[in-house]
Amino acid sequence: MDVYIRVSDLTVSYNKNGGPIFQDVSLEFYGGEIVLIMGPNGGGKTTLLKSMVGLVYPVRGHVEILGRDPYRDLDVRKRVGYVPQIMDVNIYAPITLWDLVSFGRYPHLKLLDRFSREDEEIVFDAIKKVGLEKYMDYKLSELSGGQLSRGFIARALAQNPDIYLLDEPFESIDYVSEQVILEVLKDESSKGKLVVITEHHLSELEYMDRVILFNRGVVANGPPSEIVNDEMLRKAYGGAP
Amino acid sequence: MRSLYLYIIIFLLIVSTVNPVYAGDDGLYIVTTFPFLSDIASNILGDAGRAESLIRFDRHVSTYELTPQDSEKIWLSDLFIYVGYGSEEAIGQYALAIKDGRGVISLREFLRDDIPTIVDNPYFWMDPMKTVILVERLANLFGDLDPNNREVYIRNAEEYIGELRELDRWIRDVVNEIPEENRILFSIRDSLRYYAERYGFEVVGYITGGAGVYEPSTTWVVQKFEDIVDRNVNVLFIEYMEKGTTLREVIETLADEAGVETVGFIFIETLSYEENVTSYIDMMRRNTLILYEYLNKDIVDVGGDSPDSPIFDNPVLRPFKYGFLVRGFLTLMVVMALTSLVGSFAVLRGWSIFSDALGHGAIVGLLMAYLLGLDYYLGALLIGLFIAFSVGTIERVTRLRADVVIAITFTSMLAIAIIIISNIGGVNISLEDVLFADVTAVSIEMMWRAVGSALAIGSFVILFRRQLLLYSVDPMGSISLGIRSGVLHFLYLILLAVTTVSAFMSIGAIPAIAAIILPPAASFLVSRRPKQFMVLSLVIGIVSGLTGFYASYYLNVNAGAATIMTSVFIFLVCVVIYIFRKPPTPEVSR
Ligand SMILES: Nc1ncnc2c1ncn2[C@@H]1O[C@H](COP(=O)(O)OP(=O)(O)OP(=O)(O)O)[C@@H](O)[C@H]1O
Ligand SMILES: [Mg+2]
Repeated sequence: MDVYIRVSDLTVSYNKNGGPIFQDVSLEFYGGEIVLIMGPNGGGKTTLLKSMVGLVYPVRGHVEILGRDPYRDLDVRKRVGYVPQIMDVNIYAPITLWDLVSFGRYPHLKLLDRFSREDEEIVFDAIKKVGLEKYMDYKLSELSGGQLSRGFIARALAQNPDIYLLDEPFESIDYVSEQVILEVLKDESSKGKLVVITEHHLSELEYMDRVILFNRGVVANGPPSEIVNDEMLRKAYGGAP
Repeated sequence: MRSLYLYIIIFLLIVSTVNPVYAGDDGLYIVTTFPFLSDIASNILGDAGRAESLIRFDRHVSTYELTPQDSEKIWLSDLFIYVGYGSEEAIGQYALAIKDGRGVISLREFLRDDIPTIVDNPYFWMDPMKTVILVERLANLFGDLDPNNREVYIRNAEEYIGELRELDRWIRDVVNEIPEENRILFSIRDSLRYYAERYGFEVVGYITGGAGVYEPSTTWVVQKFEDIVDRNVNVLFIEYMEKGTTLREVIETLADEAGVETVGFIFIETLSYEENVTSYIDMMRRNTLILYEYLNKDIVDVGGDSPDSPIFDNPVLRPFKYGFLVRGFLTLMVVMALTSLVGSFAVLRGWSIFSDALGHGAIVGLLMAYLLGLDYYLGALLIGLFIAFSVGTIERVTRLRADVVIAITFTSMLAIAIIIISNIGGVNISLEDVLFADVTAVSIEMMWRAVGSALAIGSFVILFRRQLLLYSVDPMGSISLGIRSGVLHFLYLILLAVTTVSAFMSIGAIPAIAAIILPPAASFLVSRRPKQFMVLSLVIGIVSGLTGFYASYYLNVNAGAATIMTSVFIFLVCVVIYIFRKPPTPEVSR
């Protein structure tokens, strides 16, 4: 399997004087797998994902995405579908769900390109996959919280990336929809794509190829059956900062 | 301005405890607004006292800012003299406040019985014989204030009156050489009326009769143009105090259109070291020589390109009869299209107050441009870019909300402007006037600047519409989608700066701010899709401009203001539509 993301000796800190959020973390992620990153609040999961898409600059170490440096090479970011935990979107803007999802196509469009038939089909397909085809013409402010979260997942799908980084995507999504979306993601990984999800529930373990327990560093890393047991969880969550 | 009152009160409290030294011992101390008034007063005082003006040479009265030192002068003066019109009247109001109403005279009151017309037209001193009246009355007043020196004041006044009579004879002699049919006057203000009456001129026209702020309407400007052509006015005179104002642009535009000459400057309020006009008598002599030089010529027919084609009988086409109106119209349309397009991203991103900031901040730019001798447009643009850059940086570094950062930036800019202005005692441009440009007086150059920036910015916006849209609604998302958001952030602020500056240099600051905010805000309320939002915003902008232009022509109102009011009206209609909009239903599909 190819290494899609390589994190080497990564140290991240938000301010120079404060201590680092985590230190010297090294991890590898492969194409075709679904990886769950679990850990307590404040454990640094979001920070880890952000540093992988180039939203947080590392103090030391580096990140390689598909063999390239996401801080230097902005184009490689286009191959990462990132769904943030907290959306910073102006929901009152004149933007419908359809528009939100179609943003996912923007990285693929050159300056003078028009939005093609094919793009439209991809957008429509993504919306259908998250089960929101009836809400396409709703403005973002007219959607429920969970519908909006599903919209962001659809945007990542429309982007057709090689790597999905989903930061607690199911937080406000109902159980049935969650199952539907996990199936879609499973399908994507079977096409050779990498899916990384952070979460602190255990409900979707059956879909995971690998689990990383993360609390200010890697606590454990391996298949769910080996990692997810009381002892490990206590180790990861017990020492919550 | 309000804070000045507060300052004055504090100042008065302090001063009243320190027991000011009254000037009584070493003669009278007279403070005036205009320098020519202190010159007149000095001639009466001679060695027995001292007179000083607050407004300095070469400075425009409207940029005067009271400083503590000046307040102290007012407080210490035995008499404060002001005329009492336009922005000069405000200085008189300060003096009344500082001196609690005592020892302050407004000439408009003081001479009301002697010169009844002073109520309608303050510029009495343009007739030296009216100045003689002032000198006689002041000499008496000074004598009342300082009886020991009464004799001295009366003697000095008599001597000075002698000089004024001689001046009057000299003017008469010079004017007599100007052929009678040539003695017609057209200037910006109605400033030459007393002069005309005394020396046999006819005032054919002026841009504004009032002495304060003036916003021309399209009809009015057309009327003036037709007067120039009908009366065969060969030269238009510009008052020195209008050196850097919109009214000068208006008169230059009219002159261009009619193919006649403008002459700068005649001196009415301001004395000037630069122009070597340093006393009241200098001023009157200089004006007379200028009138003589330019009016003592053969009169040529003023054609103007006023096409009397029947198509201009059509009410829709009538406003386009003159070139300057076509230019004004074109500029207004282009600017409205540009502002409403660029403004739509600002409204999405919550940056609309930025245009307001620029409108105020640009005063500093104009001031710098004036001091460094740069082009005003360039000055405003540089400061616009500076504001864009500082807002952009502070916002990114501190993560404060944009409106907070912008408010901080522009209030500090404004404070800097006032500090500079008060320190150098004002400038010889009317800053408000430069900001309140008017579309009826758009020069060809200004029109091309507006069109040029519209084309450049317009194509940029259309090319990068997706990136701009994504960045304005979801800044974080745009970063993770690989958009160079840092670059885009500053580029957009620069666009906004250039747009605002082009807009306020051609249609005025307040219309510019409105044009950036109102059409997108109205469209925001009723739009559901980004494209619809932008197109509608553009349409609202253009319709407002169009309506504003026709309203200006047919209803005789200012075009910029009429444009804003149309936008406001459309905005209110959109509010109503928004209130009664139908909620969507899940059955709706694409
Ligand atoms: N922008 C920031 N500036 C300073 N500190 C931050 C910032 N963002 C996060 N932190 C700190 O970094 C630590 C890790 O935060 P992070 O969001 O990565 O945790 P998490 O594992 O995603 O938690 P959760 O389960 O609550 O989402 C926290 O202690 C938090 O206080
Ligand atoms: Mg998190």
